Amino acid sequence: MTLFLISIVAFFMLRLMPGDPAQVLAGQDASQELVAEIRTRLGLDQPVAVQYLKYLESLATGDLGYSIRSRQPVLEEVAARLPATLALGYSAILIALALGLLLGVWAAVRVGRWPDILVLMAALLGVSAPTFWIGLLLILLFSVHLGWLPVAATGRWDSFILPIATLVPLSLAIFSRLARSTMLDVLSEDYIRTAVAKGVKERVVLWRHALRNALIPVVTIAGLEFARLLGGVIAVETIFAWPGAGKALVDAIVSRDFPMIQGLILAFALVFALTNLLVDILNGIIDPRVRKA
Amino acid sequence: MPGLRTELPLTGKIGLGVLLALLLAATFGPYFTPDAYDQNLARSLEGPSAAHWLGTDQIGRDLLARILVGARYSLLIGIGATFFGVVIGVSIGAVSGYFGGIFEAAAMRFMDLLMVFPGILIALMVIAVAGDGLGNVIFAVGLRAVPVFARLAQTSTHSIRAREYIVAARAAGASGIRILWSHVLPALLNSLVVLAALQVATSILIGATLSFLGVGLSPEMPEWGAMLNSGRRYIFQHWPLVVFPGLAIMITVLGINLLGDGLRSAADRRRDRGVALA
Repeated sequence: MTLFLISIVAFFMLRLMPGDPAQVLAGQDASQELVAEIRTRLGLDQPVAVQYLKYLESLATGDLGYSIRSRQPVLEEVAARLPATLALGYSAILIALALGLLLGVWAAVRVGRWPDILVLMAALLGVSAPTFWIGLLLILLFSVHLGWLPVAATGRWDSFILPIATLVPLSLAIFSRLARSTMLDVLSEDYIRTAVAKGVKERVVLWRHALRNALIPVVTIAGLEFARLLGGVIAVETIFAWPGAGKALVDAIVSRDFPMIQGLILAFALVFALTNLLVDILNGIIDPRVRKA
Repeated sequence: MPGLRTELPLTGKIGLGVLLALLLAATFGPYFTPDAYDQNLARSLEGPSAAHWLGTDQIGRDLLARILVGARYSLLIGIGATFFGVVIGVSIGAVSGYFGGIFEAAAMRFMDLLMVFPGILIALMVIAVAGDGLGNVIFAVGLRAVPVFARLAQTSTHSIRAREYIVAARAAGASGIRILWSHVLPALLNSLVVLAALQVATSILIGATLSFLGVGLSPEMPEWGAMLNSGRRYIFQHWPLVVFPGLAIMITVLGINLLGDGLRSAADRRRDRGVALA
């Protein structure tokens, strides 16, 4: 359903543009013959409803048109770039999730004392610093001054460190704050007091009884947070010359390569939809109540 | 909001102070520094000195002056985009929440769709279609805030439309628009102010990210994101260019976040005491 709506948005995006879509698709300096050929080939001389059905048909067969810049099929271009983006995005969100839970629990157990205050202050800085600036500072420190890590993608493992370290702080801040507040709620529940009263070790209460319940809201927003993190990937790929879909999108927008923009937006939407599905399944595993509902 | 001075927590007051200082600096600061657009190639990439407190950029312009002028752009984008989001979002949310039915369902479904996309992606799409320029940037960043406010307005409107005083107003012959304006909107005000403050922070971040990517505003403009974009080519020679504009963004956003969190806890405390909202 969401994908269907997004296909409509992507379709009308091109038609909302000022000027002739055929001219836009052909590029600014294309010949009149090429523009006319594109117009008939894409059926732009037909009614909008017919155009949309044709567009859906070509989507279903995986035909996303051709990039204006590279003259390659958009589907191939997107498929070549998406894995690099996903590798970055998924590693960053998993690290942020694990660290965020750990810090959140740590802060909740010591609420009001220095670990708690430290985590809250770090989280506030985390949501206030622009992601791309964190990337620049990391380059300044680890590449320019210390010379430990590469400034751009080389394909080797060590070129992953700085981009991931750039992406983690914002999500980490969100996850640790949420984990802290839900953990505080959970720890005051009756079943936790019961577990403590009957002599279950503190460590077991914390990590088995409490964490499992605190996990649910955190995992639930992980889907939305992942979408935001992928937004950050766009800037991070530009900084680190990362050969992914985010950098391709910025390039496509700067050069007004509309078939490519459409294809990339659809690809991002597909990734968000699949990730949200994954989150729903994960929640079912963590919380048996979800499965029955 | 009366009594704010006593109810705002210390962190909120710090945030307010940072913001006021920033407003003063953005308004009057540029009169005390060298001109932000004055080039001097002979003095490019200089370190901090008495003449140039934060040094100069790649074509010898005063970095502090550019940061101060940049504050105007950032605040304009942040506040302008949020204002756009509040006006359009609250209108959509309040009208659909009040009248309900199929319009409400359709409008909210569309808002959910917008919400799924990260803000920067929406802004990039809008700029791709609408083209560059400050007005388009404000619109692009503001569009992302629309569903946030629409959601808030719709939920509260939906929940209060069946209350006695609304029914009474309707029975007395007040029109739908009048009821929304004089009965529904005031009830929203508190949560609206808190949400708007936090959205200004997010909008500033997204606006800066856009111009950092070289989209929307010219890279020559003294906007913080654009300054970081052109400065990052000199990261090996001259670190101040990639540090100070970012620091300015962070301090601004931090100040607004502190104020927003403070307003929220002040509003919560007042509600807990049972004092009428707003």
